[in-house]
Amino acid sequence: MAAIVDLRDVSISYGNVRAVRGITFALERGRVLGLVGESGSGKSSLVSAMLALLPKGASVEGRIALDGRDLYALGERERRALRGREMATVSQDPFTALNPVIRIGRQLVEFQHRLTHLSRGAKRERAREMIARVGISDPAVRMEQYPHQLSGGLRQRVAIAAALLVQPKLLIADEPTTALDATTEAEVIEIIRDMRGEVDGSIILVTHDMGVVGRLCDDVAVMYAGELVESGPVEAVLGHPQHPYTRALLACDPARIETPSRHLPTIPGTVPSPAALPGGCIFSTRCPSVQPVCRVDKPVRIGIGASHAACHFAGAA
Amino acid sequence: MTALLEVNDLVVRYPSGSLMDRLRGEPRDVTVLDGVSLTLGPGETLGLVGESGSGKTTLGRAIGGLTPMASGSITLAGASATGEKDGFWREMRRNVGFMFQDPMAALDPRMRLAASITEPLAVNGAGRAERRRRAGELLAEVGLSPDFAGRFPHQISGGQARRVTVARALALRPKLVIADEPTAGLDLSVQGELLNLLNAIQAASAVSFLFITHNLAVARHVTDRIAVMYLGRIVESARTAEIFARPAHPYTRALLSAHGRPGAPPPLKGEVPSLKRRPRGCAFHTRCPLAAELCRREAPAERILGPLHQVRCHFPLATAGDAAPHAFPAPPEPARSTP
Repeated sequence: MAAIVDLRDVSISYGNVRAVRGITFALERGRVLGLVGESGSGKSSLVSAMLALLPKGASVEGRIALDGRDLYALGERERRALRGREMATVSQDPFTALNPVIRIGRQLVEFQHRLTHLSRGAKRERAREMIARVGISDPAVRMEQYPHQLSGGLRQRVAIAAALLVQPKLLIADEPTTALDATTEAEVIEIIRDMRGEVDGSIILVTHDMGVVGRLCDDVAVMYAGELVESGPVEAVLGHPQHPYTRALLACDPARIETPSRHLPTIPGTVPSPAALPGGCIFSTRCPSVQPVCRVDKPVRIGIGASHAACHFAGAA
Repeated sequence: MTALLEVNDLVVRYPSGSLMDRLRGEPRDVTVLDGVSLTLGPGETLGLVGESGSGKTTLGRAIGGLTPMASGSITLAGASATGEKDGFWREMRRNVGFMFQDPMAALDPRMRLAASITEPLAVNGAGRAERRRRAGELLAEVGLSPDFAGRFPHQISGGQARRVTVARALALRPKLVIADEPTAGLDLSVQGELLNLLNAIQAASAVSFLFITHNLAVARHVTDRIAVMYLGRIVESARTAEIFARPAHPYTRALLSAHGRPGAPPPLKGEVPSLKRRPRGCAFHTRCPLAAELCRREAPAERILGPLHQVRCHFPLATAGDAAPHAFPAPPEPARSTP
């Protein structure tokens, strides 16, 4: 099966600091991947690298391929064309993603500027249809409105509509529900799930919410301190986590704790700085089941059932 | 038990609209809080939940005197405020600590953390030496090392910024802390650390918390009671376990199902109505799966369903699976008294 996104040993450095190290994974067409990790895990850097939107001064090693083409072997013009045509994003805050002084309809037409074969009228018609498809009532009225006239949930739906209008092969949604409240979040999740068929490719959902991963994703990749510690199908990783970090992360989720408790589990310690990484396993400084070998030898990722985990004791539990 | 905080029939209005809007006959103001009553005991944590725009934040601000009230009364530790201008507020604010929604926005980027933390002390006339001493104590209380005193907000992480806002909220040793979305945007393990810290502080000092959140998963663990708000009114309140086990209001049930509670009805459709055009009758009827003719006509009065369990619904405890709400056994006579 052809992979839409294929990452081989990808590392990202800012100056002398390697913030993301040795990421290898492939995402097949039609799958939804949840990219999970805490602040500082490198998930935003990795996503920016996939969009070729890293700031100046950052360098990428390894190979990032989108639908078979090596992203960093292309020229900047070709990459820009890819971004408008084959990759699209939905950001965390839909208000900053939309221009506050331009009507929704015109913005949705402008999002399609890479679709040069369509007339302006055709683009408007597509925009109106897409607004209706993401569950917004009165599309004709909404087209004439400005972003501030819409609620947060509606704005996020407009942002999703905008991303889908270009029929991307890769849709990257960066924490799309973090800024929304529970009922709106549930609605937006439903819309992303319903719209899966609209994406002729794959979706990467960046999140730190395991509940969202469980409801929306097929695969999950867990990052910690710039490395991929565990990946695999959602049922396998959430149901039988192999890496102690994945287990700790799941244990911290208040939604997964059956009995109400005033004392919530935490992961003691802090994420190591990429400039001062521990020897051996990167999680060894915080791991509850750390062994002497973990502080010396760096574990390689091994397959256990359907998932992969970078832990000396993966599969042992 | 004497309540620490008693809010009675609180109404808050915001002026709204341009001159043009008014000429077109739009109302001059919107009623953001429409007759809210609640009580909070010493050492108790009350969770305030509801969607954006339900008035949670406004209620928190009004209780601390940061938003003027149109009518109603607020009593804290025996002292009451009934009007907008009242010497009461100065005393009141000594007893209330605030944790605002966005900690980075709540800290002055050009002030060292020690100065931010102890600003409430300065307002109340503390000298420099005392402020320095208290800054160290407060940082220790929230688990930060003394060297944070000299840092600026941009030099700390989001989780640390939250701890700093906790320290500032505690500076005057308040009886009540109003925490507005205290864990929004935090990583799960950091969220756990912060909630454990708040719990430890409460255990040590018997401070009461008004915990404003839209995260029900968090509210389930850290609150004693929950009040559910919709369009500026409390539609249901009960002990936390009771809310989760026997939600009576259809809106409460919808909120719970949005949190993935198995076997619950699907999440709500549609948008929260505008406060300017509050629906007649029960404000929730436009989105309610159970809405009947009565709901469109008459606003439901408060009913007592059990100890500390109140609801404003004509058909409490009915579920969407039932044929028709009126087919239910007649509900008990609506009780109008508040405990």
